[in-house]
Amino acid sequence: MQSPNKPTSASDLIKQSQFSGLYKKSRRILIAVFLIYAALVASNRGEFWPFSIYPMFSSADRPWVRAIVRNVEVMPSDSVHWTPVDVPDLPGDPFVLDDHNVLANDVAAFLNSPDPWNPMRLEDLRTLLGASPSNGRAFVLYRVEEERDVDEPLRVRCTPLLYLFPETEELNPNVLSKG
Amino acid sequence: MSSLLQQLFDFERPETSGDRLFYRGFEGAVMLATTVLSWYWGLYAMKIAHVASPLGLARFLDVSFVYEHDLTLWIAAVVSICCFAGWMRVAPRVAYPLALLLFHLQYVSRFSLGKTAHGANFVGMSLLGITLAILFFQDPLHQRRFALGYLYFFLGLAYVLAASSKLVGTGLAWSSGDHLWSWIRERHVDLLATNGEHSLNVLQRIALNDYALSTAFLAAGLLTEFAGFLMWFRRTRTWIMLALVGLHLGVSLILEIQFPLYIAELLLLALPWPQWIDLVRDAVYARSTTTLPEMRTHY
Repeated sequence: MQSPNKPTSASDLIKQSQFSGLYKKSRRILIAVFLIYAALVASNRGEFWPFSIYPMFSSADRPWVRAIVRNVEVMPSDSVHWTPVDVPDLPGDPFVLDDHNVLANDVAAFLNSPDPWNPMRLEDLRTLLGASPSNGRAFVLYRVEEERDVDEPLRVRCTPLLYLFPETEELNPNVLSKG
Repeated sequence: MSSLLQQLFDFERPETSGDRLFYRGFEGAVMLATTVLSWYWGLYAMKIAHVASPLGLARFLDVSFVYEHDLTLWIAAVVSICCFAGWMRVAPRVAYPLALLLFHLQYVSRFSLGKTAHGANFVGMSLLGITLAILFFQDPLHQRRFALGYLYFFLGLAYVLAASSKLVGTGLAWSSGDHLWSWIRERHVDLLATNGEHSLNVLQRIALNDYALSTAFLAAGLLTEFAGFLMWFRRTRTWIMLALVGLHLGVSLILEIQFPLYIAELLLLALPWPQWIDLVRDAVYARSTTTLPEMRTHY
């Protein structure tokens, strides 16, 4: 490490040598952390917290899939509808995630998971939402996605995936299958 | 490399009391953020029953046990104690590494549903830097200089990696304005789900009607991220950090995604707090010596 000024005495030389050692040590630590960083993110799909390749918004041209939960009036014995709707036509009242301290990202991640919709996963969804519908009502989980058709104007469509009744569930037979 | 190391660590520069006080406050802020996040994640993890998508340590170790017996709250308690003990310099060489390990465990327990968040990455990197400084340097001055230099390097690198990910993931067309439109619609859906209602703000409406403006916004963001390495150099450090604060504020306005921890840390590291502390101290000292001349006789 070169000092800006030429050393003029023995004490300057000692100081310079001390600084040189500090820089060498710092460089070794930086390189070691950098290599560990690279190895961990490379072998862990870009994420080994707090290391990350920061892939947020990196895939700009891929359609997204999000989730919305609605609180609707319906009985388990009623025949439920699986027809996709536009956002303004969503039935019932909103299930406000913020009121239940749930992050939208988590519901969307839950919905996008490839795991089978077995009783355990359905129970996990109830735990995440942290609430149960009252009698005569159900929480409906919608998959919300952009429909990109070159001949049609872009639209956002909501497909009902499942109804959570107070005691039971009903899954969209066209989209989901019970594990 | 030598010049870069000097720019980052600056071991030769004499330290002022403002430098020392600033670092004490900065380290305290990192420990406070670590403690608050640990409790926030610990409480949120109580909504999670199983690991759906293992992350980090959870890929090698089944962390399902943390969801039982309110263990995430106990972890938060231990992290809090470790952060406070380390900050008070009570066994910091044990307290900080333990806090880091448990903080990581808390993160992978909280974000086990498949979607990760990056808002707390800088807090984790800061905790790691402070821990490395305590472990590898004896002199408190060297610890402070190393921790800050380490942060300039890895925070700068983080932004360059973020920009590179965009080019790898999408290519040069990443900054096309219609991508911003798609994200605005995506955020609209998320905010509808979160709040039950949502109206587009003025900036979002303007962007959705102006392709060129949307493209310019994304291009400016990408270039600012790429310039993150300028944090490594003293002369450009403040300016690029303030530009990155502007980038985060822009994203907050147009996509309604908040980055409070990123912004706070960038402002702490960008602005000349040590010099301001010295100025205030000198002014207070000058005032006290003027108004109380008899006290000078004691020195």
